[in-house]
Parts: sequence; structure tokens; C-alpha cells
Amino acid sequence: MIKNNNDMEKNIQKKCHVCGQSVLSNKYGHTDPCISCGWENSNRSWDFPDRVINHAVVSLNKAKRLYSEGKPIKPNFDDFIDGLFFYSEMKFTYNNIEYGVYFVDNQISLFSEEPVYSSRYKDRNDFSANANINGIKLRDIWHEVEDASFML
Amino acid sequence: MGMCKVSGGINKFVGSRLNDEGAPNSKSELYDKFGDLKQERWYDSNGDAIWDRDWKHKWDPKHGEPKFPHDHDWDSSRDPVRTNEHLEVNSMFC
Repeated sequence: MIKNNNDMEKNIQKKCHVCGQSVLSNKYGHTDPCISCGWENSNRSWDFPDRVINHAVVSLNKAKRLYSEGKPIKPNFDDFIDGLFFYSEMKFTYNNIEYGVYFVDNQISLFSEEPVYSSRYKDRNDFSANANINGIKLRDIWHEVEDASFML
Repeated sequence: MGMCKVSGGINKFVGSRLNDEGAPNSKSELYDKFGDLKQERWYDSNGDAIWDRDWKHKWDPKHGEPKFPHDHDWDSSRDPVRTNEHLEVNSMFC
């Protein structure tokens, strides 16, 4: 059994920053996914509410807006790119294939291991405009993408 | 000054990610469901992430497998904050 620092214990009652549901946090504001909206709270997201730094790859303020509109808290393609320029390694699933995105030789690489696929883009603008999977622009099929997140 | 004896302790997690803030001067370890170490993350005196060590993740098959483990540093003044380079393992972090 893992026994961590007491500061990691999620035993402080607070309200979810997105929906107001009661959640339990640790000393650093970290919560498990809110049972109401799925948001994983953190003090860092609260301090930087317009930055894509949360595991959801959506800023806190955007998550609140999406929730208020009854929409799922999911990143759009621009949020994903913001996540890439925060964390440097990202992943997503499309058509049951997991793709990775990271930097190689100062270019942006979009790839999958199985089936083998790799394409390169010279910078953020190039990736934003031209990233594609077998000729289909990623921006155009982003609504079909699942599990966009930081890569691990 | 190294980060091998972290005064804030070592926290271990099983799952898909670590937080970018933690206990001051601590380290977090992330394991997969099979018990394999996936990532280590060190936090500074403010509890901000300062250093990562990746033990495994997906890689571009046309570029070749990056060296594992490899390191990433964190610098909030830079884009990306977490460096896009796969750094050599730094023995200051252990």
C-alpha cells in the first residue's frame, strides 16, 4: 500500500472551482475528478485561470464556461497546442489509434507507433495550419479526437 | 546542492500523471498499473515542479526511440515551460 506525505491526503472539504460541487482536496488544492463535472482542481489552475496547465488541457475559465453551457470539458485543437507549448509532449486518440506529439530537432513531430506514422512541422503556426493524419487535417477532425492529454 | 535527499519526502502514485505543484523540496514518483516507474518529478522550495525524469512513453518510430530515462527541466519563463529537449540524466536529481 502506498503511504504518502500527509500533505497529499485529500481530506480538506472545498467546492469544485468549475461547478461548486463538494470535493476533497489535499493541502495543494488537488482533488480527484469532481463527480459532477470531472474537473481535477488545483491551486495552480486557480492562480492561472486562463492558462492551459490542468490535466484536462483546458483553462479553468474555459472549463467553467463550457460547464455553464452544458458542454463537455474537452480541449479544442488550439487548447491542445497550448498544452504542447506548456508540457512539450502530448497525446490523443483518433480512430482507436494513439498519437503522440513532441519536439524533435526543434520541429514538431506528430506520430503513431502502430501503425507507423510520422509527420513533421517546422513551428507552431505550421502545426496549427497543416498538422494532418494521412492528409486529413487534424484541426478538421479534432471533434472526433478522444483523450487529448499530456503524454506519459 | 542536489536533489537526492529531498527534505519534503517522496510521494508515490499509480495513474496517468503527476501534478505540476507538490510539497516543497519533495519528489513524486508515478507508476503504471503494473508497478513500472513511468515518471519522477522534483519540486522546489515553493512546491513548483523543477525537474522531470521520464522512464517510458510513446516515441516517434521514424526518429527512433529516445534514450530512456531522459530528463526535462521546468522554466516558467520559457515556452514550453517543460523543456522540449530530451536531456541527459542529471545526477543532481536522483
